[in-house]
Amino acid sequence: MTSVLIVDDELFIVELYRDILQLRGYKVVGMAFDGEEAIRKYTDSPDKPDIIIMDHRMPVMNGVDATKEIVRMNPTQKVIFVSADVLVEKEARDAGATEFLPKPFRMDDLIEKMDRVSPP
Amino acid sequence: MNCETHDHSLDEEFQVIVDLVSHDILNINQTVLSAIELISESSGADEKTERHARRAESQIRISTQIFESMKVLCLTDKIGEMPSELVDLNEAVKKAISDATDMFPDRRVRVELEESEDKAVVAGGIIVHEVLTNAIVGIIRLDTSEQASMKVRVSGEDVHGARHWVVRLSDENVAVPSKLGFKTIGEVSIDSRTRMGRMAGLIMARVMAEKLGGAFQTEQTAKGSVFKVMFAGVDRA
Repeated sequence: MTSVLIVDDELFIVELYRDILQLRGYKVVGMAFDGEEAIRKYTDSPDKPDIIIMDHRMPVMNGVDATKEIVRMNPTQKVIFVSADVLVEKEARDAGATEFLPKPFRMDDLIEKMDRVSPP
Repeated sequence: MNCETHDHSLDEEFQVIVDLVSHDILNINQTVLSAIELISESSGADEKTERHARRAESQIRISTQIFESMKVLCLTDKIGEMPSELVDLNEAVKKAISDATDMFPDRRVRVELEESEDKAVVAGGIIVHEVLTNAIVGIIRLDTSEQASMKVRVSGEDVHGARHWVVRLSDENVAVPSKLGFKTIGEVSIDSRTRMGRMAGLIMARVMAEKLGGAFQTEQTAKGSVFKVMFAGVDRA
């Protein structure tokens, strides 16, 4: 079962992603509400998530900086960047994001990207 | 439709507000869209619920497009110049058709593109996409028939001695009378006295097209509306 860490500062969004992903058979292993918390949870977790869903505009630390740090720790980590800031796509990809999805998106679109980067 | 003001600090404040509002709305739209999907997926959702869900999704997508365009328009005002990145107009039209029709999961929409063999290159980067998408979405919204139907053609045209590329969007249903099309993007615009403007996406398409040195107009016909989006030509190679 593919494991997922969800990072977004909007509680409702995090809960909805979690519920839909669980319905679709994914294992949500953690949730974080800013970039720093995401790094902390990632570092503390003995089993790294297969995929991280990362928002950009968050308090304390943004998604681009968090992605840079996580990919620095683990260059093979798959990060799907989701943001309402479409102009940040290049920066996100340069930081190491595997995929980019502008908000709002259908969960089918997210899952298609997740399937693309999931381990076989 | 201009985000510039005479007071520089107010201008900057306004830019920040537009950015924050747009970002918030897109996040809110994400929440609503995901909630609708969750409701649709739950057992017991009947056909009527599904139809309403598709309609709600469409409205969310249209509002997203409006806010994204507003954000882009204000950003270009802030930078003080329009993007100059060259764009293959035929490819931009195809992408705009795909993005625009995706915004109507609740309706039957037919947009027929008459492929052009001419290589049409225009300047404007992301603005070209915004102009075309807003134009197509706006025309579909004006068409209230059961199946919105539009024909799209790209052609070269000399305007006042200068080469332009014109994207013609013809209402095939005659559901958007020529007069309505003209009134919507033509004479109404933003009138500070009467506040008669409507269809923000169409108005923004016109403003953006003009900022790129082109135009967004209607042709007078006896039947349905023919909308013309004009871009200044860069290269005919």
